[in-house]
Amino acid sequence: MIPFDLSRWFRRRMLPLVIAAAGILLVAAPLSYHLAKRRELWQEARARAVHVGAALRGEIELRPLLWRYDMPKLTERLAAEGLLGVPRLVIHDADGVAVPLDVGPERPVRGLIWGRAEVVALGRHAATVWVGADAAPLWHGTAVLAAVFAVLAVSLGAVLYLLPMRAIGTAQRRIRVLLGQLALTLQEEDRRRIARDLHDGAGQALTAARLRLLALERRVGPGEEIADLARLLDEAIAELRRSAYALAPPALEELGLVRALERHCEAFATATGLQVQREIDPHLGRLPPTVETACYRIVQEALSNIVRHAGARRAWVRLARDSNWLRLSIHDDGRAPPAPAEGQGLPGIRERARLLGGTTSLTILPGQGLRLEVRLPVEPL
Amino acid sequence: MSGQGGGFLQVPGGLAVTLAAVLLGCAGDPPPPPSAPARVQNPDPSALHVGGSGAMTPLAMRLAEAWAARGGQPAVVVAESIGTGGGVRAAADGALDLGLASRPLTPEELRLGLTVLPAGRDVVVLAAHPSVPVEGLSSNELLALHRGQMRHFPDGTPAVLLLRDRAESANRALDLAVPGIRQAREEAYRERRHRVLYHDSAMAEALRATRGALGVFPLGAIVSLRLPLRILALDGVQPSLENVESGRWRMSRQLLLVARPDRLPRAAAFLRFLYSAEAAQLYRASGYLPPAAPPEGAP
Ligand SMILES: Nc1ncnc2c1ncn2[C@@H]1O[C@H](COP(=O)(O)OP(=O)(O)OP(=O)(O)O)[C@@H](O)[C@H]1O
Ligand SMILES: [Mg+2]
Repeated sequence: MIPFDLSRWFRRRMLPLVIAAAGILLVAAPLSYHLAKRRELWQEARARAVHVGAALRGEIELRPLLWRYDMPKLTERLAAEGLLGVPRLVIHDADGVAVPLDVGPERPVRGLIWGRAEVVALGRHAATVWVGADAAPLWHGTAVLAAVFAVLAVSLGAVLYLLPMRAIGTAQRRIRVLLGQLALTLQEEDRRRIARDLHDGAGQALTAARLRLLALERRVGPGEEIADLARLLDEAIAELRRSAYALAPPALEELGLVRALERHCEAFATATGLQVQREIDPHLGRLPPTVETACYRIVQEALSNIVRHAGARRAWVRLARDSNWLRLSIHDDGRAPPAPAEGQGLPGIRERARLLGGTTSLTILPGQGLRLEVRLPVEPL
Repeated sequence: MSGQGGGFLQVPGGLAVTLAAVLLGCAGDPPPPPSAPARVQNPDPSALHVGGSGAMTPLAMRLAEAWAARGGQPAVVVAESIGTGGGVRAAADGALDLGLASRPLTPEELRLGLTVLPAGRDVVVLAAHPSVPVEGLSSNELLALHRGQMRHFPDGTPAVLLLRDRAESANRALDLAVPGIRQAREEAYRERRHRVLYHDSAMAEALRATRGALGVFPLGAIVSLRLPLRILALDGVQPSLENVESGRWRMSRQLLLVARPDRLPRAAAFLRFLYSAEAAQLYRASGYLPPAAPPEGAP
């Protein structure tokens, strides 16, 4: 009915965008924090390396040849002055040979951020100092921030995605109902046109033939053959009127659903001898024309099925509205076969209900009568 | 339709990843490369390089002067003190021909394969600024000074205890003489109660310049450098070479020489002098006890 599935179309379009937006939100803040903090740690490490380098320069100038053997005292002094306090200190001499520092067992760290300083003493490059800062607090902080922003990102993604999805779902349901109503309206219009054609075409022709026959009878006098012909013509005209009436019930538009149904039930009872009990809520008010027509057609078909198949003496027709649903129920005291054959009537009922967004159900009652229940939505559009 | 959407997303995604990689790479210097292999050093083959423990450095200088005065070859060059540990490592690397040690070698140091020779004993004393108004201290007073309980001498002069760094072997000598002093000193380091000096030269300077200052210091340095410091008695015993020999003064250190075996031949002539009677006299005159006799296998 609908050319494409709006929800699916939207999902395909929107989901990548929503995921990208949530992803950017998730990544941006922790990444910025991480980079800024990493830079800070780096600069701190560098400043310490420069500081160690300055102390080292003094040592080198004091002992140009043997300074590299006196480093444990330098590091002890720096530590005592509270200037070390870093997880890693590495010093290489000008030849790139590591200088022993005796800083004790190194405490294990998972990640290091290095800061470097070059030491120039006695007019030449004498040593390189590396200070490694522990990156664990950085990762920890980043993880905490990422967790917080993950929650935010998921919430934002859910809002960005679910709200439009819900609106689209509602819109799609409404469109489906509207299209169903449109189809039914077109169908009703078709029927009315056929009824008009029957009435104005074949009906007028038959009526004209009947009048001519009357004139003929007057001229030649009554005869058995003419009487037969007149009876056949009368039957054909009555049948045609019935058909036209069934195709386009004029009562519905004029009287409204409640009174049209009352009238139909009465007429049907008189015509067939079936007792039809009615419980029709008189305060239904006017409903969308498609819904009214559907109800009327369904009652028509259900009553005609009861007379044709049920062998029932009584039938019940109930119509009521609760909140946004119209409930129509028709049952009889006849006998239903355990598995009813499929004609055109019951599938037609189901199709009407479906087009309007409604549902149908058939139940065999304990006394073996059949109950047809139809629910139609009448939510305000 | 969807292909368009994908393309639109790929561009900023790829850009962000590249940007992040670049930024992450930027924040930090490259880590230190692995150390280059250490080379055997030999700064100046025409001289004999000696250095290490500050306790023995003044004596080594006196010996070198005497060696030069009698025209000994090769000339002996004594380096500024770099501590026993530094002396041992420098000797192992060949940066020094003879390393000076004032404590027994650690197991790691022994594993370096150096030849170890006895080089006499030095005497550790309590040295004080001349303004200090006492002739001596008791063990209890020394403990009270370390613990910060005693801040003045009886006449009201402030008492300023100066500490050497943890690794200093004079500390070990004091530990032997005064029970409980080690713990008191560790506590003092932790609480930064007293000033800490990291070299003998710095200690000498601080003792000389600070009113009321006192601390452990080698007698040899005071005598041979003629430092204007007061030497205090401990529990009534006056430090002297005789009292060390008799065992009454317990603060003294075994002195050692260490050398790579391949450098011993170059040092042989100077070592013969070091074990001579002439050097023994110089030892005593400088406030040190000479080694008893050249050891077996000494050149
Ligand atoms: N009220 C009823 N009681 C008993 N059987 C029924 C009842 N309504 C329907 N049936 C059974 O269900 C079958 C299918 O009904 P349906 O209205 O679809 O077709 P139909 O009435 O046979 O033919 P038509 O296409 O003309 O309506 C019927 O043939 C009949 O057997
Ligand atoms: Mg039927």
